[in-house]
Amino acid sequence: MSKKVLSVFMLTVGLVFLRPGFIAAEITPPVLQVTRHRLDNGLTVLLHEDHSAPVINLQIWYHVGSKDERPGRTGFAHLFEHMMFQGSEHVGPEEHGRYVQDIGGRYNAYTTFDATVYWETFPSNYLERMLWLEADRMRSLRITEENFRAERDVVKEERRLRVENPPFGRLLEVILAATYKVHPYRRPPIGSMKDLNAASLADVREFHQLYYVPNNATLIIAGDFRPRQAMKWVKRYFGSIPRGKPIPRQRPSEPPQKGERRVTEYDSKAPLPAVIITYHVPQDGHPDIYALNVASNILSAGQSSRLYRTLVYEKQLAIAAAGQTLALEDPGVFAFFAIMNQGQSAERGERALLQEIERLKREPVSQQELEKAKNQFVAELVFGRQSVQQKASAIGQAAVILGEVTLINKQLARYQKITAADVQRVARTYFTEQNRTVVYMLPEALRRKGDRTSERRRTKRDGEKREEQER
Amino acid sequence: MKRRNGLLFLTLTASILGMPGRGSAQQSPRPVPPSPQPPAPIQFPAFEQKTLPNGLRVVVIEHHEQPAVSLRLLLRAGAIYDPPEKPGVAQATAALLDQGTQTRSAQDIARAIDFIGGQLDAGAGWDSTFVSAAVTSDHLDLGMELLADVVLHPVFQDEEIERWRKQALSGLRIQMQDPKFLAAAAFHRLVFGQHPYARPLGGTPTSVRAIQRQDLVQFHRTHYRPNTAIIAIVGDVRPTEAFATVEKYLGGWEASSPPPLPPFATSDRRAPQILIIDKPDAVQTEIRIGHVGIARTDPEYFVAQVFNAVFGGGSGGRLFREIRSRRGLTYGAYSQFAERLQPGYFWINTYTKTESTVEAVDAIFQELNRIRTEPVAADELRARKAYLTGAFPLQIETPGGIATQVLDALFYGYGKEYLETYRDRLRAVTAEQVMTFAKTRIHPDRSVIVLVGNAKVFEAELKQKFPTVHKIAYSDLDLLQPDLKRKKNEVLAGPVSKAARARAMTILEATIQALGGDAFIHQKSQITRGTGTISPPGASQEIPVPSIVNYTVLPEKMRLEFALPFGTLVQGFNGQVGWMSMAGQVRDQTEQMKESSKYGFQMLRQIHQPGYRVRPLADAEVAGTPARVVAVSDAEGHTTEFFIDPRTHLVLKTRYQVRGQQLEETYADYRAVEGIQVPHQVTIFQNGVKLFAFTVREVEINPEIDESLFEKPEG
Repeated sequence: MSKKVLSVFMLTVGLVFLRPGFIAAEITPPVLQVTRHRLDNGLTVLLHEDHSAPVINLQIWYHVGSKDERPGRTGFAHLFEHMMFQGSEHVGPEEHGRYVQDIGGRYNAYTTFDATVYWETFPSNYLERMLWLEADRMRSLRITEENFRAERDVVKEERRLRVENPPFGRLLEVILAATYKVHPYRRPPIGSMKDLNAASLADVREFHQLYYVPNNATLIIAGDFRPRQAMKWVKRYFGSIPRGKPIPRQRPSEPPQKGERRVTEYDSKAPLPAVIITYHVPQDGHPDIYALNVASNILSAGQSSRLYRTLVYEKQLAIAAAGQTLALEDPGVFAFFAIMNQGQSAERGERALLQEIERLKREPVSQQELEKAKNQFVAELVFGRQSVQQKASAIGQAAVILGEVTLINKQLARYQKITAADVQRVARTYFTEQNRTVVYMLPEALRRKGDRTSERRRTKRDGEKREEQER
Repeated sequence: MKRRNGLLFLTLTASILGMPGRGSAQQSPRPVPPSPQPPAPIQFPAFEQKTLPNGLRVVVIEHHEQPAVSLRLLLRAGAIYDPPEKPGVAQATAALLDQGTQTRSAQDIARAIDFIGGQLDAGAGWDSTFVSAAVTSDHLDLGMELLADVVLHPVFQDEEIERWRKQALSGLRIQMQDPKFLAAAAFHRLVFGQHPYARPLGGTPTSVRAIQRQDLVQFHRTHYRPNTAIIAIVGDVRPTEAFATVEKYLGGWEASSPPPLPPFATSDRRAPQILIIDKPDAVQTEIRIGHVGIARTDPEYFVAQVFNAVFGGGSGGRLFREIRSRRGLTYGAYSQFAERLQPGYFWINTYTKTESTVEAVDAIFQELNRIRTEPVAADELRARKAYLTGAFPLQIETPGGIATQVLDALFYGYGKEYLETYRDRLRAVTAEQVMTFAKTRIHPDRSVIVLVGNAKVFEAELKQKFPTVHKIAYSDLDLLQPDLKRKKNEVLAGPVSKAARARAMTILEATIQALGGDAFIHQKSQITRGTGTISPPGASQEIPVPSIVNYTVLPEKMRLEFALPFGTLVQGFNGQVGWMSMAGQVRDQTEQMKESSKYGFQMLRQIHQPGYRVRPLADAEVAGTPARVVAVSDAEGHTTEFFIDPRTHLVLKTRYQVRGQQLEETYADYRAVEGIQVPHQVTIFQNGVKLFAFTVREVEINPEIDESLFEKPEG
């Protein structure tokens, strides 16, 4: 017996016989207790008590993201997020941060496709002050034209930083624009320079009035506080903020894709070839998402995952390869990608990815892989809920995006029910040729001579209409 | 060792951040914000410590909220110990730990850790290497077993090394186009000169190609040792169980004495040094301004923290408020001290659209000037100290946070008391101390300024402020070169032009003159006596050699005597037969000696002989001194590279390959003896690792030497 075979054998024996109880995870992640309140003005309040450290994380989720932006205003939800730090009735520009930092707190905010989230983590004896601070900017904004313009310049620098200047910075824009034709997910939340320039202070006021109202907000408090006292303060500072109009929720839905799409982009900031394959999948919370997430773990989690093992380790085609669900409030995507090693073509990467995709459709995943994926979800829940901020974020995601906060304690059971047949079924359902978009992003140096057209070269196939240039 | 290979994609989806700006909005009367409740008492969480007989320090921090345990081993094996010409060895060693051990293949390890939903990680920084495992608490034993296996028994298989090399080179291809990476790498290179902190952690394309298995084996053997390591076990575990588990898997790890740190010396500059890395496709300019900072153990560490909080720490610092909030020039502007075992760096770090590059640089210098001339107001100081001290309960909220604090303190030589008084020491810092610190430890006039961006837009404007600006195209950047510029390689390969040969010959002629001219060329023999140290490959420490005597009859007869604590080792070569003897045992070394006698310093005396060829190579550096490099080859192709100081014309180093081994000899402390310049400090490196150092005490030129000394003794 060779040394390697022997060691595999010993390890397997060790796993199966010497460690009873090893296969099924013995660990059960603790239940996250949440109490739910609703104020008369529609504000949802979710409380999670945790006295293990004298710290609180407070989050406000406004249920408005980049998918709610009107045409010609891409990037506005995020631009608006910045404006929330530019002053309200009793808090001057720049002061929000000082209130938090001067007590040793930390704060920030972020904007996704679906929501805008503001948070503070701070010593627990300052809860009342933090509630006052957040309430003030929900109730009122006081922004001057000068502040608006300076902060808009900051956001433009952020776009340069994340999109225009770094290697592969435009990749996400290219992928989304190729995958979505109608739905606003076709633009990342950062938006376009042109639309940022077009935004005005009047837009800011309108957006605040429409979306930054108690009936569109969820307040989460996680940490060291007494619920009765906390609710008294919540009512004192938020209770009198008037309810807003009903929130407009209509947005175009993405029509089913009718055939494979292919896009090739040459980019001077692509140092290596990259290939991305996307498939449309349902919205987050849909039963199939759980099976897709199991597939994602089997494909991508760890060095024993299929894509790492084949594309990166064995064939040495790629420096990174993965397949992941981008689960969103509206139907999202499952994206496979490979960043190729030097000298390896995107075509080879595509073939290797498609082989793995076909394998997932052709044969059920092994019990070992399935168990591994489930153990990884257990560990994720355990390691992903250590800080009050992690806990509050999980609560917010379940309550606002999935629409049901109790799901935070039910997800594991849903994963435990997934079978190999489920994984095969979702692969067959969604990973089809007609639902597929293939994007190549190639170094400018690989552009063939004579191919002088625009930076963007698109080919049409399978009856897809040639789309228009966006810029 | 990443758990997820695809986070790149998802992290792109969230656009994060948004922070305050100073404006001119009129302040309305306002209600006083609510007062705080009485604060909860804050104590540093209890932890237990124990030192194993092999010197490994073990820290256990109980935290039972989640059924999870994290193990984190911190080794004193940072890139500070990378071989001088092979940056990247510490990181490569860490990266290859889990790619195969004596009993497990890379995939065995991956399957074992992935199956339990755990994570195994390793990485090297400048000062330390960490190896960590995170597992649910029912798998503590397996987590510890895997961690110990990859730390103690990695095999560094060639196949895995080649796989790593391919990945690393592709990764560097991305980094070399990343303006942030380029800015940092060039900044470190200029600030730290020849010190290891100057070199990129992950190496450069050149060094990654040069790293060999032996480099990794040697690094692992020398620097992975229990007596300078600390392991923290944090989470849902009882101390007795944790100590027992560590003892079980790491108790047998053998201690050895630690190698010294490299000397810390950087060149002083009298004016700002400005470098533009020209990247014509950039839309934003990355800006780094700064200089050597402070060591982690600097007595003014706490003053530095407060200074930095005021000046540029976080979004409440002056840089952020001025450059981002007030002027809208950037999305982020910060200052930072990187405190290390040896002084790290202080830098200011921002970026702005190409057009406002010079405005941003100006704004930084204005702020630097302000903090060095105006005392910090009491309110601002109080607020920024509160920002630092108040964050403490947040930092020790999670098991991981606690472990970070404890490991950091212990690694840099502090204890429990230090953690408990940390906040008090911050609170004690005064405005006067901050001002004095700014004046004495911050040097805008001697800063390094690195700008990575589209030079043609801002270069002229910049030159109005700073007359001497250096510029390099980013595609020409070579971080291992003294001037950062990649050398044209036509001299290194292919036919050598007559002119190039003549140039090389001129350099060597000058060197021969400097070494003594005819006296050097016609030298017949030499006896050299002194002391030294020897570091046999695989030995964990240097062995002092109280007496070394070398007899040479040129061109190739030699005898070397080492008086070692356990007997005298003698090596000899009579031109035909080579040998080594010790304690009555004699071993033949004819082949090795014959081969190696064809290389080295003595080739210099033969350059005019038939068949000898010389050619210039790219300039390099030897211990901070720029050097001309000339290769000398004999008719059979044996080649020695001579590194020559252009000022003194003396040889700083020779380098040659014998039987796949790279040997380097450095020469220093030249002194004239009877008209010949003799180096009195000679060090020999094998594959980048120090093998032998010789400090010369006494030299005899052209003595009579009894030739029988070179003959092989009876065995």
